Amino acid sequence: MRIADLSVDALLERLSFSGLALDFGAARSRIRSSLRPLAGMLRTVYGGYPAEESTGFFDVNIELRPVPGIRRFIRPQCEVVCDGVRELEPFPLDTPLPLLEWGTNYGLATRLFCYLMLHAGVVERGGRAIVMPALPGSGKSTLTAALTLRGFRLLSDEFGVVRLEDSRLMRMLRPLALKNESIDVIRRFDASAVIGPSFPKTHKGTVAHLAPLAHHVDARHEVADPALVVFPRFDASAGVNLEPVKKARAFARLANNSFNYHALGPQSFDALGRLVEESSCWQLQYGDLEGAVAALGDLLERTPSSETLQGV
Amino acid sequence: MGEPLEPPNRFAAVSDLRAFEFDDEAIVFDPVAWDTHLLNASAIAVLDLLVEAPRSEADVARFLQDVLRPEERANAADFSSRLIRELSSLGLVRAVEPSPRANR
Repeated sequence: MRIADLSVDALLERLSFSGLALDFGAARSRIRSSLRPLAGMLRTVYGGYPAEESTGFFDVNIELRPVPGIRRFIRPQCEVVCDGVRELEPFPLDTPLPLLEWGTNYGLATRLFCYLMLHAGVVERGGRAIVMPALPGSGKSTLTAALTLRGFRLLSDEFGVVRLEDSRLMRMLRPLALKNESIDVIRRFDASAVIGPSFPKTHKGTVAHLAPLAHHVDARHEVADPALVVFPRFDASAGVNLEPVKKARAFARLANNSFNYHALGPQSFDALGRLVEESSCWQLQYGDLEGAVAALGDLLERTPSSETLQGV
Repeated sequence: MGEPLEPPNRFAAVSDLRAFEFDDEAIVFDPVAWDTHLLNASAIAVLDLLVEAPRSEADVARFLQDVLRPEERANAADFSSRLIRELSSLGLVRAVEPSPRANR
């Protein structure tokens, strides 16, 4: 049974009592909340996830609750509590999903030190991953979303999770956070995309979440081999332009764009070094989304796997 | 009063450096400070030399004579001094005491 198969009432009961268990692949979380609107939102954007029993170990325990006190009557707010600690500033009560997602990001980024966590979108095809590290505003999420709607499988939009012992990419499968113009761009790109409600006026503008496809959720425990590192940059005036990036420079940019590279010392150095060794590294400037998807598909096809190279 | 100490005149790479070499550049990890550095080909060549054994600036200059382009060789001594100073400032190279009675 998947979460989409539960009624909103049944989902709200889980959220209110035992909690809703979510398995992202590399980590699990448990969400508790009595906010009824949140149940409907979760049913949409986490609909493809299995409706698991809320037992076992959770990397992050998240509670979303109304802010008590006089604020209940004047501009009511909700707050996110991560393992018992309120971590982020409250949001308006009608904006619970973005707060939950950002609270979960915060919880995962500050707790998972058993993996190297890159700030990157990651997709794969045929078990070969494209890692797309980027700064906010670079078009990373839009490109990641478009790739997953054209046959690539999603590993993560936010966390590139690198296994320390062998540099394989693990999944941290969560809804993709689309912002501002990207929401309509993806709606037009694929009319079948399941996108949750839009939340205007967040600190990042309007935000909406693209639900991962059910068969991507089913693959959440599979790992992928690194094949490409691509630094995307959206430029409306550009078509599609791919240029090689020197590997040492790619290493430096990946390390600087990581959540925990500096905390893991030699383990993260070795893991990132192997990942870069096994990858071909590129800068992608794109204004044409369909063209960028096609170019990355072609590039992946043309890039020999590290196993093939070792055999040469 | 003992004999006056001679200034250290040899340099060695710090122990247990880790590195990935990519084309003409390298990424080096300093296991003491947990710092990561991007080095160019000259710097990584000198660092490799100083991993093998401690060397003086003159040794490094002689080594550079063999690897620099002909038009750069006249500046090998300055280049050696500058590279050792920069690698030292990054914490990748340290001065070592001269061996007893060395250079006497």
